[in-house]
Amino acid sequence: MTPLLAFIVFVLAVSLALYLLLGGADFGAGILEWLTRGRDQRRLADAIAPVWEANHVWILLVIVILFVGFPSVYSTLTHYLHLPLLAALLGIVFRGAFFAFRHYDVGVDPAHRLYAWGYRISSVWTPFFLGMTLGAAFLGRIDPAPASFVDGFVAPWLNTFAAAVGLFTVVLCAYVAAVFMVGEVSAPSDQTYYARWGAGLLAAAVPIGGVVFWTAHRAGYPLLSHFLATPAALAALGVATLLLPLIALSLRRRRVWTSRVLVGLQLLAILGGFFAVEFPTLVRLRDGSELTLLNTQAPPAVLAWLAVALVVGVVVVFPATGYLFWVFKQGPADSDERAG
Amino acid sequence: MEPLDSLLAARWQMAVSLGFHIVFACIGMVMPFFMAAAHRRWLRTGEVVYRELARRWAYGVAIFFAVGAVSGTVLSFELGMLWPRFMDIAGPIFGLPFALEGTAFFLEAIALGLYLYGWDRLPPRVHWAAGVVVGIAGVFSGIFVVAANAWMNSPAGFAWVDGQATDIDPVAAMFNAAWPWQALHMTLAAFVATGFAVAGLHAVLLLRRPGHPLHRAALRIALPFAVVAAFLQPISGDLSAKDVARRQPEKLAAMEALFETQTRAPLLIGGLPDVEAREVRYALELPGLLSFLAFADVDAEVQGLDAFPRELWPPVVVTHLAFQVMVGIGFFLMGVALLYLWARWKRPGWLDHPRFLRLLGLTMPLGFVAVEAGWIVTEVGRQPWIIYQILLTRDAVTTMPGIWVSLGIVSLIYALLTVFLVWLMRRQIRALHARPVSDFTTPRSAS
Ligand code: HEM
Repeated sequence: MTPLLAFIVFVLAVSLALYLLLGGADFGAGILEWLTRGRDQRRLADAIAPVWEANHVWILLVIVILFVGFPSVYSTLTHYLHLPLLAALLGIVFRGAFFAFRHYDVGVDPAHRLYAWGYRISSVWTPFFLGMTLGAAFLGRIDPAPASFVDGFVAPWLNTFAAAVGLFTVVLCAYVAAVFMVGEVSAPSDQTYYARWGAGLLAAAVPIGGVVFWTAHRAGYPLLSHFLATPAALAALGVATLLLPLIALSLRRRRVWTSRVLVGLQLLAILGGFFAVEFPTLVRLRDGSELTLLNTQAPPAVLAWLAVALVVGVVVVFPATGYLFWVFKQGPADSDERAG
Repeated sequence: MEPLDSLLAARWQMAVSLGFHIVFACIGMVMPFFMAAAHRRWLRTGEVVYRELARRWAYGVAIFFAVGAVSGTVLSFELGMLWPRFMDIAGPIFGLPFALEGTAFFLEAIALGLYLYGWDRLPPRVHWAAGVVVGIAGVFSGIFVVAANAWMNSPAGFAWVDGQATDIDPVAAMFNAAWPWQALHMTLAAFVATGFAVAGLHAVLLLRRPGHPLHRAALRIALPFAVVAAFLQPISGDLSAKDVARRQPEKLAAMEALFETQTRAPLLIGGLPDVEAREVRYALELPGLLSFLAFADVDAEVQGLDAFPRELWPPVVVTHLAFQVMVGIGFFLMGVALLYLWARWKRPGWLDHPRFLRLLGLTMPLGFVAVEAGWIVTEVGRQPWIIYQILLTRDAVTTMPGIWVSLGIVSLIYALLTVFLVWLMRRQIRALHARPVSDFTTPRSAS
């Protein structure tokens, strides 16, 4: 792998990880609102409002890197996984629209219940289908010469493994959001409340993670044995597991930033472990062939200019994002006085 | 049996998605300038009405930006979902501007977050500057995306060997021949359309609430932008037309419904082309003007559709009518701009006259109608190609059957969203009008 390709793969991985963390927390806020029956609807929304657009730009970056740098990965996924992606897109549209409507519409009346439900449902729906798409990319049921509509466009993703990955994604999003919320509220009873949710969701994530491995196994995709055979992945899995008690402890003590950092690390370990197993594969096809970072990469001139654009982006975006977070994340959202 | 074949359904879905997105993209890139202009007046004069206006508009920007962002996300996936073969080829070549657009868009989102929530947290000047950055980043992101579209009209930056792109040069692709003209024309179009839409809306509201300070202030800010852009737009359109005449002569021929190659070619105003008979009915002909406009010489030869194989003709009727609508609106709005300037100079009283306000109300939708028509000219006029002279649209379309179902879903959702947005705006306005006018005139302590 050339340094150039390595750089682009690095940015791709970082974008995906940030999307999982920031976008995930954002989806999670909606899921949590549902789980807690709207207990802190306003605070949840306030916590994400200033940063939520920025949180979702990461997915665009992933998409652009894919279609510029690894075009056949992009075109294969969008072509054969058209349906779950369409579902995810509908979720993205509804979620964005209802979130904005809710936040900026005047007054408090029945319309707001519609926005709230539209927002909550799409907060679960969207990460579910995105997770499903991710699972389907690796399962190996994408058929480049399909015999029928179902073979080509349904079977690759409508299966228990992809559904399990979708569910796992949803739970992770809610988990990240719950941990994040601990620092967004100031009353100790509120903090405990979210810490409990965080711990509960973490407890749910573990068996669901198990289901992912089990459904993979049943679908003839030996994910677990691959994990066991890849030292880096095994190490990552170990880290994620070791972090479990630490996170539980720091949540109990309501250590805001320690919990956030540990959870971030844990998610990175899960994602990193998975990609360590699969590296350099991005898509597995039914005929056994694979689309990889290596065999789909665009010519060097393209990658070089993509890298330039990414560097420009990093130089512009990171300080600006840092400033944004610095301005708005200096204290719990509920201690703000905000003019509207 | 499918009600529509995949190609037609996919083209419609793309048209619906783009047609929806472009409205929000235009508003999202222009409104921040209005908002920042109002904000600046507030900082300078301390007149509360301008602060109120900046805040109201900022709410509008937030909603439109959000809808623009999600509908733009949809497009970034749809390109591959509907045209996988196209993206396979084009992705690496025209991807550079998209990557840069990502940065601009990111910056826009960040600056908007800072602006919307920065009222009490940022120093006044930084806060105002954040608003300006929203607009500038928005314009840049628009210009970058247009580079990709322009590349489809004037592909550059690669060699085409046996159905494969080689020797890819992303910079040459980005700086393709059509880019400067299309980018200029599109940026102005956004200002024309948004300017008249905003001015028109507030003019209508002023008719309902005569003298309302907020609407008067809004007109004072939006109209000058609209007027300047409306003046420049026909000039930019003429440059675009000259460029099209050189690069895509069959598009020009379709725009003008010119069936026969001729010297001293006439410019047609209106008219309904009859493709079978190869003639145009009910048109007003201005002899030699097309030759002059395209090549700055009344005797220049202009290629007609007969110079091209029949199967490579763009759809003539649609392209011609869309072009007529765009140009017609362009000149009409220029006329309104002229009237405004003249009245400002000689008859200031006219500007508050209900008739003038009604005229502005009439312009409210027109700019956006012209934008949609302009995109129809550009896109339909390029058919049957998706990449001009490289790849046919029908060879790029997805093999997934049943696209008309997703076309139905996407159309329904965008229609619903549109209804919702209109309803939402009416609620905002009602809430605004429920407040006493004195709210906007007497200074209050900062809230
Ligand atoms: C008044 C005279 C006008 C002329 C002569 C003119 C000319 C043109 C031409 C030749 C094109 C095709 C460019 C191409 O395909 O490369 C075009 C496209 C377009 N026009 Fe116009 N136009 C005029 C007014 C307007 C107005 C008033 C608007 C909107 C407010 C507008 C919006 C557009 C848009 C959005 C496009 C497609 C994107 C682009 O090429 O930038 N035009 N116009």
